[in-house]
Amino acid sequence: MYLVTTWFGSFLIKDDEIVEKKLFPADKEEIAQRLIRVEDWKMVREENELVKNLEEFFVLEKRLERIGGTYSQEELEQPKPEDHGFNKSLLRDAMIEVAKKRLRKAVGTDDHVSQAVHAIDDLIRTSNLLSERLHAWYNLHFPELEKFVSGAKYAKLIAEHGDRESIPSVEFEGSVGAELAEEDRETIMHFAQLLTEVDSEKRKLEEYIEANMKDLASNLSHLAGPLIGARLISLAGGLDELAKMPSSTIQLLGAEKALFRHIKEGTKPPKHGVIFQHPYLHKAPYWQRGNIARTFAGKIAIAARADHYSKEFIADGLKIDLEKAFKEIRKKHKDPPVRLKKRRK
Amino acid sequence: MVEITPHGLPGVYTDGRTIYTVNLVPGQSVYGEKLEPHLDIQYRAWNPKRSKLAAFILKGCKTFPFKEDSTVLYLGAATGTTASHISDLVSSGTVYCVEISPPPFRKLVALCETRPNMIPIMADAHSPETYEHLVDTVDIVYMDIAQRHQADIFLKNLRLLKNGGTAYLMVKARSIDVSKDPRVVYDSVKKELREAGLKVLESSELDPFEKDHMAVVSISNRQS
Repeated sequence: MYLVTTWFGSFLIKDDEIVEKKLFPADKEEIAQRLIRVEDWKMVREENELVKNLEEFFVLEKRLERIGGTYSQEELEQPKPEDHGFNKSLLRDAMIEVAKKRLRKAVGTDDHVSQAVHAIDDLIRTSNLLSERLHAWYNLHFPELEKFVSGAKYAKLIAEHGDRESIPSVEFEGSVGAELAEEDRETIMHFAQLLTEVDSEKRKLEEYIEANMKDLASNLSHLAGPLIGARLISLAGGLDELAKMPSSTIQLLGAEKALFRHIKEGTKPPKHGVIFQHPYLHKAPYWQRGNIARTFAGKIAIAARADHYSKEFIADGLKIDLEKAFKEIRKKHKDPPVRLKKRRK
Repeated sequence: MVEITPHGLPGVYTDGRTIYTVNLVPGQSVYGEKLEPHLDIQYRAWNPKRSKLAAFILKGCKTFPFKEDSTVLYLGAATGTTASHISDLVSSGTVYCVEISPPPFRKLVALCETRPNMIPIMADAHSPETYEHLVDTVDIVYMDIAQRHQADIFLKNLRLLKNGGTAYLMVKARSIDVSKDPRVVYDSVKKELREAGLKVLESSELDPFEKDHMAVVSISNRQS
């Protein structure tokens, strides 16, 4: 006796004859619910009813071992939907239901975090673009301001005060810039305001990522910093994916271009991807970076796995280990390598 | 007004330059392709740079078993660009579209809702056992998946192919081994298929439409 479940019902089959059947209700919702249960390796009601009084039966799928079936690899003639009053358009409707339900569930915190990472990159690009334009524009009126202030403060001063005479505690006598008409002044102030808003939005997103990363991946964000952690998750395609990666892959996430150039054209292999943004790496002397990157990536891999699987906080211990290893590296490779002069061809 | 005539392959039409399929859902443009009316029928332009099957047709594909009532298992349907043209070809048949990644799958589901012969299946083509209870054995298997073990996945899925059915594999050499010459990769894939008991009917590189890709058509020799 075989227990077989199709998308439209469950069947008991003996010697190629259907002995008993329990059809699913001919309704897309009902079928969708059952198909999802099957996908999740659970039993459907019809299966339980059919085998209730059976002592021994065979099954063709591993899932059904759970209700006591014996797994067999026999090839059996499958019941046809048309013979039981079902057609493909019902399957299609049910599958669309299944798909919608699955998709709604498929969105997690890490999806939002990786979108936020992309949004930050967009804002950085936008900010640089606008900043360049603001400098060029404001230089018509007051080129000397660049010498006094830079960065976010530059835009803020212009947005708040406009002309050079209004900016407090800045020497403007003898400026080579031209006078600023009222209309031009207001336009530039508005433009500068936009830039300050872009920068403040960027800061807000960073806070958002920080807050989310604490819940999503506390080890990772403690070890690598919330932003770099978020970038790694984004590049890996989710925390689950990152947790499955070997540390050598994590070490090079974000350096794919250089890696493939190395594989294809034989250039030097990259030593680090986005983890380079961490001070551990970019503050280290260049000849230690390869070592540090490898060690760092190893601990990041462990942190990501703890975040995804055990959800225990182990980052403090990891950090101590890491600092110890770095000390070793620093001691061992104290001096820059002596480079042999390239021989002339 | 262009003159649209049969191309020679069943269901495929041409105006001498572009190829077309008959739009199953008149008025709908799936990926921004041009809709062309001719003698009361609306045709959809089939872009070889977006669809590897179109590229294969333009490169002289000869085996083309798509009939109006064919059933097709499409692995790696993505957003449904190629799948929509296959849906045009098998207007009263079925296209089972398997895709695992949620972002393209969202678009695919929306497309399936408009096309009565397309069925979305969110599953991993590595494990055909997760969807075989949904799919009857099909006339045609078409696979376009950028994975390292493309050939293995393809062979695993052939258990859902009818005896004597046709299977298409779009090989992406870059996914299998970036450092090797694509031709070496193509040969090793063909060898793998032959060793698994398949007959390779024809194969064609898809340059210049798709770089480092090859289309392979096989039929199953096995009797079971």
